[in-house]
Amino acid sequence: MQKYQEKLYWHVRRMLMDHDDANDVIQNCFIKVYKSIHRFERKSKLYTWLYRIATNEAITHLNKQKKKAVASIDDDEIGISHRLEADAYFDGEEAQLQLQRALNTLPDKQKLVFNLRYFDEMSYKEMAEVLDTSVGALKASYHHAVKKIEQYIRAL
Amino acid sequence: MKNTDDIKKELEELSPFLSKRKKEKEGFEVPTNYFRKLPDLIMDRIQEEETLSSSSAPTTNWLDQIIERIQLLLQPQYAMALASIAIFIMVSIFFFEQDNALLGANTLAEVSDEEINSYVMDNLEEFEIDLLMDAIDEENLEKEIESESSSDDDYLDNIIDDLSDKELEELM
Repeated sequence: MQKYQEKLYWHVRRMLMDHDDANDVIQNCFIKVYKSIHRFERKSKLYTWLYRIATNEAITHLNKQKKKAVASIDDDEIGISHRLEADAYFDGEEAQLQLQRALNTLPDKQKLVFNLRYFDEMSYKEMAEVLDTSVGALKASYHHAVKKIEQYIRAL
Repeated sequence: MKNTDDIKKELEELSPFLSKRKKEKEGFEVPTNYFRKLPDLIMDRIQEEETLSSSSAPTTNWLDQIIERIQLLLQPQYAMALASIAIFIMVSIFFFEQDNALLGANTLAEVSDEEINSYVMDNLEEFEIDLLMDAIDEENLEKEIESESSSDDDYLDNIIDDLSDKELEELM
């Protein structure tokens, strides 16, 4: 747990942005790992298996939030930057705020691909195991994500 | 290391603008000592869940255990297997009994009429007269009596032919 907890936490945090949400999800993730470690078939690395569980838990949490929440102005990228600025656990500079706003213009899966490649420096092969998607599709997704983010930030 | 270099090179090719931005600080923070406390938080939750699940499970007596096992056997996957075994046993019994009946019939067919008659004569007291009478074929019995009586007549004729006149007169 000690070895992977930080990496997995940050991965989840980048998806959910809020610390309390990330805290709940990461705890659920490790409880699930504890209960199902005997089912780990060693067909993939432990690292990618853990990432897969964490990703699925985060996506489930996001979907639950979307079902509960009524669409509001806080859901767009500007609203999100306001939320981040107001967040006690966000101390980013303007550059980081812009990046977060840009990331929130991406579809969830594309954002995920970008985070895993850009922040976690994961190889496409490992990413394919985590997201159950082909390497080619992941490369295309990452390339599009980078272009979109650059365009968004340049336009600010 | 190679992977990091590859990723860096890839980003430089895709977007020199983005590759120049520092990414060591994303802006997100955590409470003090969060990662040090996180394992304990997780273990506390696991223990709490395990305590809740064991305390909510009701104690069962032997009858409940039997009922539980029967219910388990009635689940589809087990019920199918049991039904298949039951059908197999019933079919086996059915064919086994048929074979036995045929065997009896075949065995009886191999016994000759002479052996049967001999057995009946030796064990006459074990048979009821009425059943024996019923078993006799009247038509064949009459023919048999006729043929026996005709052979007797022939026998007597032969004896008479051998007698002299004087002996015949003495007999009369």
